[in-house]
Amino acid sequence: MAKKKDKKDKKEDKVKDFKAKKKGSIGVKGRLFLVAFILLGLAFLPTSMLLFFGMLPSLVAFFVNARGRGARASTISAMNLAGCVPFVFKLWGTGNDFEASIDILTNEQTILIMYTAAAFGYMIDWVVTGLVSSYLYQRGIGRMKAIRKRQAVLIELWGEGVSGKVKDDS
Amino acid sequence: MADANIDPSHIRFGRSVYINPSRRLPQFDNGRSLAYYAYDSQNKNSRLIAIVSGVENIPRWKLTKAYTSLADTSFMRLVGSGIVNWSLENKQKYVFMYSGNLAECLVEKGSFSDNHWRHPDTVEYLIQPMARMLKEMSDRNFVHGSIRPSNIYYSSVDRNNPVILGDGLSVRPNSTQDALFFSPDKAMAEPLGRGKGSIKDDLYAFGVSLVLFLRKTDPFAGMSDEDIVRRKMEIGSYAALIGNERFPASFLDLFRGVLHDDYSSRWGVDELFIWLDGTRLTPEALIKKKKANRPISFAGNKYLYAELLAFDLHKNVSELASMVEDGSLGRWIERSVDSAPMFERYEKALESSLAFASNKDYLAVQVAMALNKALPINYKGRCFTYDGLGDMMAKSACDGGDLSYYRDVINLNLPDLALANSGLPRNEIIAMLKQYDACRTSLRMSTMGYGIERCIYILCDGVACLSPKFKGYFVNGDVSVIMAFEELCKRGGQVAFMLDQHLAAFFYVISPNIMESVSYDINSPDKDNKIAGNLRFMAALQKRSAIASVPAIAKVFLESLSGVYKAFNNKKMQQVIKEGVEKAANAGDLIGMSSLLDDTTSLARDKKAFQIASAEYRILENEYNDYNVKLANKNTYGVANGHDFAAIVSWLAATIITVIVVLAFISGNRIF
Repeated sequence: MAKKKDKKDKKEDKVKDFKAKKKGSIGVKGRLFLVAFILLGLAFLPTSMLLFFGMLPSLVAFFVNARGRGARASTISAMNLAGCVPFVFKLWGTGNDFEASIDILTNEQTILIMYTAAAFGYMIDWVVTGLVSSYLYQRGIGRMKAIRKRQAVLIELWGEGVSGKVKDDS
Repeated sequence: MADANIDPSHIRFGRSVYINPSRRLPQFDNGRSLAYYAYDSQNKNSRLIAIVSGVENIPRWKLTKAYTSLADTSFMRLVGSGIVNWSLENKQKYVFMYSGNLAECLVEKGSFSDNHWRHPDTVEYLIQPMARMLKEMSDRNFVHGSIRPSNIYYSSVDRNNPVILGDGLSVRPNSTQDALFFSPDKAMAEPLGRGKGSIKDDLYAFGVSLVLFLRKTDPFAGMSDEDIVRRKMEIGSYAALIGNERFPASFLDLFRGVLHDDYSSRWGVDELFIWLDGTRLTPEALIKKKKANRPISFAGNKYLYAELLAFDLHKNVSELASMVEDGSLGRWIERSVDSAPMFERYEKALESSLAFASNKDYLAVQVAMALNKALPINYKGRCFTYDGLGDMMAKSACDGGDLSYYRDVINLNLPDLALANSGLPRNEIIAMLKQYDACRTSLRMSTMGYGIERCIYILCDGVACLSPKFKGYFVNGDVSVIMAFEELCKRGGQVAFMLDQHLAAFFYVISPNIMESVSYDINSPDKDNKIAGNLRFMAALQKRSAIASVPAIAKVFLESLSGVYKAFNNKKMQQVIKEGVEKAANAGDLIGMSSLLDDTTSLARDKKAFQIASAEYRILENEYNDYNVKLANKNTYGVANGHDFAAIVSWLAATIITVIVVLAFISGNRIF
């Protein structure tokens, strides 16, 4: 009886953990990583500022997209980051200070390039997802047809009885 | 090849023997088995006698081997036997072919001998050869059953030859004899109800034959069979037969010995030889019947002897019932007959009858047995001995009669009752009781091969199969079954259900193994299983009979096998089997057909493969249903995978761009 109760308790704990994770609460590792990230951001503040404003489309994508669509945000982020990288290098090449960072950010061309890259990421997501899902759908249809064909062969070879539905009287 | 000189009306038997159906030899007839002149076309001097017997005579074809092994020259020499197509009646008959010069019978039925043989001649040419034959038959456990003066032959031209004993195989033993030739215990039984008989019955018949040969007057003139039997019962067979006739004194002991009414006191063959050696033997005296102090009236007659009353009890069973009910019969036995053992038997009989109180005929049998243990069973107007039921049943079935009477007799244990009073050795009684037990078991069962039909073949050894299908055929074994069916199938109208109640019962008795192997299928409610069982049965017969080809039977089966192929699930396999079966059928090979359909290895492999195929079908069906659900919404299917793939593509592109930027930065070139 006691063993059974323990098992039940463990199960309940697991369920609680799962629910907590689902709600978005961060674990110890996550918190440590967040602290390290903030400290690093403070240490490289000009770069952080540049990236914060440059990666705004990605942040929006992360928060806007419904749960479970992290892949789309990831796609946008990747291209967004690729759009930001040249300016990060430009920042690092021009003194890596606040002024340089603000100069880069206040340049419309810079913002356009970074945000266009993000838009390109969105486009990749839209096109590739469409292509892949369409391909997979066609493949599913094909498989269904193949199943029916194979079943027909089995019936031809063994009679209706093979389906287990009716006795073969042919 | 038929000889060109042979009259086409002559019926061929074997390779070169022909029977002339228009030339009868009536002196050799044995009851309804008729004798015809026959000859060997390759031997002009041959003189043959063909005795032609129908199914209804229940010929003893099984005993031909035993008969041919009898070495004494006084037996008619059997040169062959077998089934012939008897064109006179357009049916098959069984022929016993004897060789020998044509001779005259000793005494024609109902007449006196006109041969004034001297006493030593009678001994030398009649008694001695008969004794030798009886000895040989006794040694080989063979019962002739047709010993009578009209079936004993001698040559009037050359009298210095021993007599020849005529046919005894073409009919059941004792079935063609007059009642005169039996001791009272068997005489009143129906001809076919007299049972298998014994060598002592043959000895009795020999004694009567000798009396008839030597007598100058007929003490039974004008008497009916029943009167003769009654006379024998009153004064004993010896006294009844001898009467006032003067016989040589030395023969009287012989007559006393062989005509003794008590079976156990009757002379055997050994005593006969002792007598022939000249040693004087004194036969045991007949046990005197107890005479009652006062007579009892029954059916308008007065009786002083309980044994004679027992003989007539069946004539008025209602009066008997009232005599039993008012106790007058019991009082008469107890007080007037004054026989304690008989009264005890009577009381027991009444006790046994209580179980079937309403059956007065049963009461009559029980009481008759109590009063006279030696009597045959006389039930509802039919009379038979403890082992005579089988032949009677066979005859009734052959004539298409109602067999319910025999069902009653067996279920009422009447033969068992007679057996208990028979005085036979214990082992013989047990063997016969086992047969009747098997019959009762069979009557309780309703599956094919059981029932009253089975009882016929259990109790009547050697009877041909009496299936209505074989009307006009003599079917007594594997070969004849195959040949008859082949002919029937050629005529058309036959179906694949070849086994019927009679044929199944027949083979359950003569060859149980073959029936056990098909019993499941032939009793199956499924038509195809039944056909497969029939085919397997016929194939087994073809194999045993070594008949190479039976195309007509094969064709009938082929037309009915469409469902049988379904034993195989695989359609291709069905086709292969079908083609193989068709090929075998064209060759008339039932064995090949059956082996293809009953190939257990192929069937097991097919079954296993079918199970695998069924499992595969189920898995595929589940997968299909899965897809069906998933693909129901085209807009959502594969989107998650698409996003994942897009992420991969995007990260790949971003990595390439970053690498290019880094390389540009390192090399000092600026992009922006």
